[in-house]
Amino acid sequence: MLAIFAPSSKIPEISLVANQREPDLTCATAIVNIHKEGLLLAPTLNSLRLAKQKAVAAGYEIELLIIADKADAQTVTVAQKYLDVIDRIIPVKFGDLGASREYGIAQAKNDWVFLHDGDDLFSSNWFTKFFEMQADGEINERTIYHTGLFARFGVEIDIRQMIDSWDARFHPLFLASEWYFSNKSVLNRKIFEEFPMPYNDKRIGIGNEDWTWSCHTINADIRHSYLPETICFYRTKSAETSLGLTPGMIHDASPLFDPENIVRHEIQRAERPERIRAFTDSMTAKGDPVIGDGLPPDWFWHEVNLQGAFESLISDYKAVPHGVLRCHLPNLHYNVVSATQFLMRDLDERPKIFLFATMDNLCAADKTVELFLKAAHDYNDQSHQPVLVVDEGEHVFSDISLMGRFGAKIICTAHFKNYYKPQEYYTNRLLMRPIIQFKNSILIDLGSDIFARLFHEFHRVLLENFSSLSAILFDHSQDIMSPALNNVARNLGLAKAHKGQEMQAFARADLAQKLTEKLSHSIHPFPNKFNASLDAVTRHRFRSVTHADNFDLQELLVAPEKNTAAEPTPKSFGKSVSFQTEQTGEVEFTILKHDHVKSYLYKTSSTWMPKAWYLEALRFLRNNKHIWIVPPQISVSLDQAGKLTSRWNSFSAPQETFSVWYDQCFVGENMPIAVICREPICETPPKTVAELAKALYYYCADSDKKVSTCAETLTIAFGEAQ
Amino acid sequence: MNGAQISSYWQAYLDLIELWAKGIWDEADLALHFSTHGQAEGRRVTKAADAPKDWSDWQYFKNSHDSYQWWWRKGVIESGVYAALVKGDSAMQRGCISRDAHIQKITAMSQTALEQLVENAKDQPGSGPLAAISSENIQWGAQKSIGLLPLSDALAQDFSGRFGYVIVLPWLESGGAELVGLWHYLAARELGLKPLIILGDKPNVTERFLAQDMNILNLPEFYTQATGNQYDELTKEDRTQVLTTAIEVIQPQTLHLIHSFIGYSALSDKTLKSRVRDACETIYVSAFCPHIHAPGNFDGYFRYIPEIHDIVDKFVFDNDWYLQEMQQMYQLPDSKTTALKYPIDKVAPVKKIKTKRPKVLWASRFDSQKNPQIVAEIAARLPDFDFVMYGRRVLGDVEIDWQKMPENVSDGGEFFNIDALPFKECFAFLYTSKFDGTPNILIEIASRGLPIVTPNIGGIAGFLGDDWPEYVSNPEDVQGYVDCLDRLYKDGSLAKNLLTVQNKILKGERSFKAFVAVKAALVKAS
Repeated sequence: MLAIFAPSSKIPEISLVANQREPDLTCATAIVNIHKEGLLLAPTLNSLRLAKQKAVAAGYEIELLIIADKADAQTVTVAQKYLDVIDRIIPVKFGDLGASREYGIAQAKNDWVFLHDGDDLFSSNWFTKFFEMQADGEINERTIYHTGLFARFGVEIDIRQMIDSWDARFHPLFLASEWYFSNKSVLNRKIFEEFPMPYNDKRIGIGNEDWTWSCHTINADIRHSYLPETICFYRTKSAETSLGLTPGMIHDASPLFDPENIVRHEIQRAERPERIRAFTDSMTAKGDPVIGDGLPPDWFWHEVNLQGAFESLISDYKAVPHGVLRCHLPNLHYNVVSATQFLMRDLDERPKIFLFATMDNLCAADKTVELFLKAAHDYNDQSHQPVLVVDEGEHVFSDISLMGRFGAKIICTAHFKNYYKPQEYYTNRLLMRPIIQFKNSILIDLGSDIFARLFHEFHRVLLENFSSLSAILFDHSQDIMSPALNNVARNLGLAKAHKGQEMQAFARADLAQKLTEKLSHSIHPFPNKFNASLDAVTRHRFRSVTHADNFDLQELLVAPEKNTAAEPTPKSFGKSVSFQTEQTGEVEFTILKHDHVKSYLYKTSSTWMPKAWYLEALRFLRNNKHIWIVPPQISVSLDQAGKLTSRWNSFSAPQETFSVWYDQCFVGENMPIAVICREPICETPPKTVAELAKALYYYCADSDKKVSTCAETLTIAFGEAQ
Repeated sequence: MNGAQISSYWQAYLDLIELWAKGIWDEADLALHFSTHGQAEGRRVTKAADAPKDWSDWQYFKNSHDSYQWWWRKGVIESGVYAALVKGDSAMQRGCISRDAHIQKITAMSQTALEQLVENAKDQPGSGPLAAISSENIQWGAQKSIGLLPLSDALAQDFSGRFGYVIVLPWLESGGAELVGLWHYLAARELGLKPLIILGDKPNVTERFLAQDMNILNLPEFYTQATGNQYDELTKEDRTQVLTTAIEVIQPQTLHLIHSFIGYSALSDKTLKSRVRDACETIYVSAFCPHIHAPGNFDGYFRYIPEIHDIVDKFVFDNDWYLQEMQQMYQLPDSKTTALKYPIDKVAPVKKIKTKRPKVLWASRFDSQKNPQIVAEIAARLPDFDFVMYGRRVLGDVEIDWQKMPENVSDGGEFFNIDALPFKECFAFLYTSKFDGTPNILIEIASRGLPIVTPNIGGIAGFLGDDWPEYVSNPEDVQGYVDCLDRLYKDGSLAKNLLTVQNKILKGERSFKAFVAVKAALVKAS
C-alpha cells in the first residue's frame, strides 16, 4: 500500500504463521488510548498494524486493545476499520488519559503492555525488538522501555535520543523542569500496581501525568531505558489542540523532590562506579557540550520511508538539509539540578506558609515582611514552616537570622535567577516546585510581582490545591500606579474567571470598601488589631525602639470580616439623563432621555467609556442638528495576547471607519464600540459587535447622516479578545 | 483643625515630620504650629483639596531618592503630594499621571486622553492601559482595513443569488487543476447549475481560459476594485476572510474547492469553516496526487483532509488508485469519496510528416518528479533518434543540466497549449515521471494521436489500462524506455494498434457526454 510515495519502502510479504515459542516470553498487549483523533488515528493504526504483522510473522503474539475514552464517532469509526488487527475496542468515559490507560492495562491479558496514544506512529520493529531482547534475557521487570528515538513531526520537527535514567549523564532532578520520559513505552504492569498512573486534571492544573509518573518511578530506582533502534514518531500540534501543551498545567508533587531523597540520590550517584566522561555533574558549566548527538542513522531513514507512507508529514524529515537534522540528547542542564536543590533544601516535613513579596512594591517592607514571617512561625503552635519567596530588589537578607528566629526558608528570586541562570521557560516552573511539593499549604501574597507572574501562568494550580490563598494589600489608598494594587486586582480577576475557590483579599478598611465596589469582589478589611500593628510599624515606627507589635495571622485568615460584595454600580449617565435599557448582552442598547429628547446608545458590553462623555455627547447632539451619531475619538482595543492598541478614529468618511471596525471583529481583536445616535440605526438592535459595526456602516450610507466626535474621548476594551 | 488639615500641613515641613514620627511632637503640637500658620517662617502651606485627582505617589517617588521618599518608603507618611506642592509645579507634574512627561511619551496621548485613562484605571483597577504600561508601551495602530463590507456590497450587486455552483480555483493558468475546474464548470453549465469560478489566490488567467465563455469572479481583481486595497498585500488570514465573505454573499448551493490555498485555509480555519458550511448546502473538494520533492518528501493539499473532512460532503479524486490511497491513509468512508474520469475536449490526431531522423516528444514540468534528466541516458543509447523536450522550470526544484544532455536532445521551451507541440514530426511520446495521479498531458497527447511510452505509476493504469504494452518496469528503467521506443519506431503496426486502443479509451471513457452523466449522478446523490 502507498508504495508509490516511498518507492524503497516496499513492505515485505509477511507470514502470519507464528513460530512456537514460550508463551510468557512471546506475548504482550498493545494498548492505544483514543479520544478525538478523528482521521489522524488511521496513520497510527496503519503503523501499529505493520509492527504487529512483523511481530506475528516472527512468531510473537500481540493483543491490540483500543481504549476509547469519550471518543467521538469519527474516531471510533476509523478504529472499526482495523478489526483485522484490533482485538477489542473498549469504550470508557473517564475523560482522563491516565485513568483510561490504567483501565486498559487492567484489561490486558498479558503482563507486558505497550502503551500508545492515538496520533503517534512507531517504527515497525517496535514490538519485535522487545521480544527479541526478551528472548535474549535483556528485559528486566523493573525497567520501563521507551523508544530509542523520539522523533517529533508536524508543527515542530526534531529528533531526541532517549537517555537511560541510569546513564551517568542523567540526573533525576532534571525532571524538576523538563519532561524526559513519555508513557509511550513497554513495561510490566506490576509496576503500575506499585505506582498507579496519576491522573490529569485540567481544572486544578495538575497534569502531565507521564512526567509525574516518571518522577515517582525514578525515585523508587525503577529504571527508564529504551529499546535500541526503535522510534516513536510523535505528532506535534499547535498548543490549542495539544493536551501536552495545555497552558498552566504542571506535574504533581513527587517524593523525588523531598529534601531527604534529593540527598539520597546525590549520594547514590556519587557512589556509582561509572562517571560522566570528562565531567563532574556537580560543578559543570551550564553551556558545556555533552557527548552524544549525531546524524540520524540509516535505520531511522528506513523507518521514515515506511512510516512516511502512512503519514506524509514524516517524509518532511527528508527536506531538512543534510547535517542539520541531528539526534539530540535531551537537555542536560545541571544548573537546573543545583537550582532545584537550592529551592528544596531546608524545607522540613511540615506544611508551609508561603509568603510572596516584592520589596519594591511595599512601603515599610522590611518591617511588614519580617512580622509576617514571625506570624507564620507562630501560626497554630508552629504547625507550619514559613517560606518567603521574594523579589528582593535592593534588599539583602540574613538567612541565618530568618532561619534561626523563624525557621524560615528564603527564596530570593533575583539571586535564584542570577546565580542558577535557569532559562526563562524553566523559571516559573522551578519556582512552583517547592510550592507544589507542599500542597495544602497556606499562600499569602503581598501584591508581589513574583506571585503575579506565577499566578498568571498557574492560577488554576494555585487556586485549587492549597488550604488558603490570600492577598494582603498594604496600600493606604487607591493609587492607580501602585504595582501591588494592580497585581492583586489582576489576580482577583483571574480567580473570578476561573470560578474556583474564592481568593481572599484584605486591605485597610477604606480601601477595602472602595475596591469591593470597583472589583465586584469582596475585599476584607484588616481586623482592628492587625490595623493597629500595621500602623505601629509604619506611621509610628520611629516612636519607640522597643515596640513589640505582632501580626496575628490566625485572626486575619480565619475569621475575616466581610465587606459585602457590592451590587454592580447602577448605570448612570448624568443626573439630568434618564435611561431605559432595551437590550443587554454582547451589545447593550439603551434609550437615553435628556431635556425631553430621546437618544439611542449602542455599546458593546466590554467597552469602557468615561462617564462625562454621555452628557457631553447628548448636549452635542442637541446643539448640532446635522449630526446623527456621536462616536468616540480614540479606541483602545485588546488583542488575543492581551496587548492594547490605540487607534485614532476619523469620521470625515464615517463608512470607512465603521468598515474598519467591522473588519477588526474578524481578526481576533476586542474592539470597543460605543455610539450615541439621534435615532435607532436599525429596526432590531444588533446582537453582536460585528452586527453593530455593520449596522453603523449601512446607516451612514446616507450621506446626510453626519458623524462627529464631541471631544477627544477614549473607549477602552476590557475582558478577552473576540 | 482636622486630621486632613494636619496631615497636609506637617508634610510641608520635613523637619516636623521627624519630630512627629519620633513621637517628640504629637497632633497637639502640630495643631499649635498650625494655629500660628508657619507663614512667618516663609513656608508654603497647602490644602488637602490641592491634591490633584490623578495623583500617584508610586509615579512620583519612582525615581526619587530624597528625604520625603525615604519617609514614604518607611511607611511613615502616606503621600508625597504635599512634598511635591512645596517643591512647585515641576515636581507636581511627576506625580500627576496626565502631566507626567514620561507617561505622555510612552502612551503618546494628550492630557485630555490621559485624564480618561486615569478614570479608567480608577474604575477598573488592574486592567486597562495604565496597568499595562508598567510592562509595555501602548502602541498606536493604523486603521487596518480589509474592506469586507464594501466588498460585500459590490459582490451582492454583481453575484448575489445568481450562481448555484461555485468552483474555487487558485488561478487559471496551465495546470491540470485548472483543466479539472474547467470540466466541472462546463458540466455544471450543461446541467443548468449556474456555475461560477472564483479565483482565490491570484488574478492570473491565460488566453486559453479567457477564450472560454465562463463566469469568473476574479477575486484579487474584484477585491482591489471594490476596496482600493491590493489583494496580494493582505495576510493569508485576511484573504481567507475575503473569500469567505464572497461565498457568504453568493450563497451557492454547491461549493467546489479545487487546489486553492486560500480555499483550503478557509475550510480548515476553526471559525471560518462553519461560516462556509452555513453558506452552502454541499461542499466538494477535488484532490490530486501529492507533489514529491527532490529530497523525497511529499506533500500536497491532501494533508488538509483530516482538518476539513467534517464539513466536506465529497472528496473528488481523478483516479481510483489515488482514491484508494487516501482511503487507506485516512480511512475516508466510501460515501465521502468518488473518482471521476475527466474528458478531453477533442480527439484530433495530427497527421505525421516524414522527418530525416525519428523524433521523440517529451513534454511536462522540468522538476524532480517528472524526471527529465533521465532523458539524457535514454538519448545516449538511441543516438539515431532526436528528442525534443518541452516544459516549465520549477523554482527551487532540480535544474536540468543541459550541458550534460547529448546532442540529440533539444530544449523546446515552455508551452501553454497542447497544440503548440510538434506532433506531426514525432512518432512517440516519452513520459518519465516518478510518481503521478492521472496526468492530463497523457490524455491530451493521446487525443493528438501519439503513442505513449510510460512507467505504470499512480493512476496511469486508470487511463491506459493494466495491460498497456509500452509500460516500462519502473521510472528509472532506462533500457526499458530504449526498448519501447526502438520497438515502436521499428514496428509500425504496434504504433497503429496503440493508437487504436488510445482512441477507443478516449471515445469510450473520456467523452464530455460521459463526464456530464457521471457528474449529474454525483450532484443528484448529494
